[in-house]
Amino acid sequence: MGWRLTMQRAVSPPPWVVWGMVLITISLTEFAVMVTLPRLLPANTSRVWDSIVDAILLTSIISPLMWWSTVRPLQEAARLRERFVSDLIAGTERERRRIAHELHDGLGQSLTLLVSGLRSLSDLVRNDEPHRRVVDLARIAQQALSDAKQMAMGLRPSLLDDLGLANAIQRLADDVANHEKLGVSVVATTVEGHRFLDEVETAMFRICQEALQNVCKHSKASQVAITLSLAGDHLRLEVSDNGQGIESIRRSPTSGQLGLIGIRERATLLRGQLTIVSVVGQGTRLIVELPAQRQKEETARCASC
Amino acid sequence: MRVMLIDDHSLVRAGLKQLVAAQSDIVVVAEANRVDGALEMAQKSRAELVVLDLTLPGGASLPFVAVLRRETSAKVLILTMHDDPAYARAALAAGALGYVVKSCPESVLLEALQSVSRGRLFIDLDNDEQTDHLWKTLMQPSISGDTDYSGSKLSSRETEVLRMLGQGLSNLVIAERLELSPKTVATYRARIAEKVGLKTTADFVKYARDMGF
Repeated sequence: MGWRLTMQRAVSPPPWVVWGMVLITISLTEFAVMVTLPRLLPANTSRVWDSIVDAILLTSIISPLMWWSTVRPLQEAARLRERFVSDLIAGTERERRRIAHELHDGLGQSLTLLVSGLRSLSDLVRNDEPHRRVVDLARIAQQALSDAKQMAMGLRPSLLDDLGLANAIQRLADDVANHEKLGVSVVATTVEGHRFLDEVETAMFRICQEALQNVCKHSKASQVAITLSLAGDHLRLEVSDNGQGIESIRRSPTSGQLGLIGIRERATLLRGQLTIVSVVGQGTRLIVELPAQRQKEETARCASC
Repeated sequence: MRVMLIDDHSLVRAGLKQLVAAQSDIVVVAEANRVDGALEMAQKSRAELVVLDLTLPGGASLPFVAVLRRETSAKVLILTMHDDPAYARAALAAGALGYVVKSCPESVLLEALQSVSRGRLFIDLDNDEQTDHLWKTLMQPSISGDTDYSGSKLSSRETEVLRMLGQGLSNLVIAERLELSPKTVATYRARIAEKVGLKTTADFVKYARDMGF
């Protein structure tokens, strides 16, 4: 009972080597076919017959070669890349969830006890000067607590895990509306009370976050409407703004483009679809549809909320 | 009053016990640091009020609120780090009668314990503006599906039915007064029950009274 570790070349060959190999294969095959052709065919066959037999021979020799040497490795590489990216995304989310939890329920909990204790103490200390100092300390502790909560929220809102996508997106919208000069509305009535697979909820949340960031950074919009709905067996998110629109997705600023790449990547990994409709001067609509895999009823963390 | 504490932070439990020790009418009869086995403890100790943290080892304890409500007669007061109104709405919808954020001063917590033990709704998110807003959305249910999302809002018709149920009227009487069929009233009732988490007529009466209907 043994096993062998196969070492593979860590560095893939440079493109010119691959290209050279492909050209040499084609040339050699064509050469071999042309050499053997006169032996295969009777003398004085027509040019058309010559060409037909030549084409068939060449294709039948080259196609398996190309399949094994090019198509399959390319597919394999694409598959590996997809798996790597989705593992990477899942790993990042797991780590963010862990740190957010530590911040919120570890550090946050201690700070909370501190705040509550200092506040109660300030009620007991009647003397002017000590009372003022205790109140100051309570305020500092309160600031530290809200910083810790804010950090945890920024990493990954616990709302997303506990109460689901609609609540998390509503909170996200509230936060954006409070910090930017932007009116944000959320409609999620058909999704209320439904829970979806963790990957689906996370992807939708991150996509919405990214889309809102794009709106804030580039669109110069005053209003943005977020609609989350169930369309058949698909979960659909629409983020539409009344901003200046994107002239061309390719020519948009690099950071915005990167945002869109991230959105497309997340949608593709879950076999979803991304549509962007934009008219210059009339705003942008970003629509993402993902297969809505529901969480099973028993595992639904809070079906009735 | 017999109180059970469920919180995974021993410091929080110790603080609570110290706070309660000074009160003559409150006794801590049981403590737990997780949901597993907590139901049996609550039943065995005949707790009348359960103070429950929302984040416990093994995940969120929101579903446990409904379990407690179903299996025991204990009232539930949520004591948590989460100050987002969505958590409070979900907890109240699941059947909790009180919701207090942990950073509140001890005096608020005492008030909450007293209030909830008397069967009165108590909410403090340690943010007056948000607490007020939550009270308003709970008491003045929205009329239509406006852009404001809320998990447990009632339509104006549902509110009307709830108000009448709260007066102890039967489906038949309500149907007559609103000129609806008894079946429609039953549907409204089921929808309200689902949205707010109520079961018996007594629940309706109590809920409507607590909400000031």
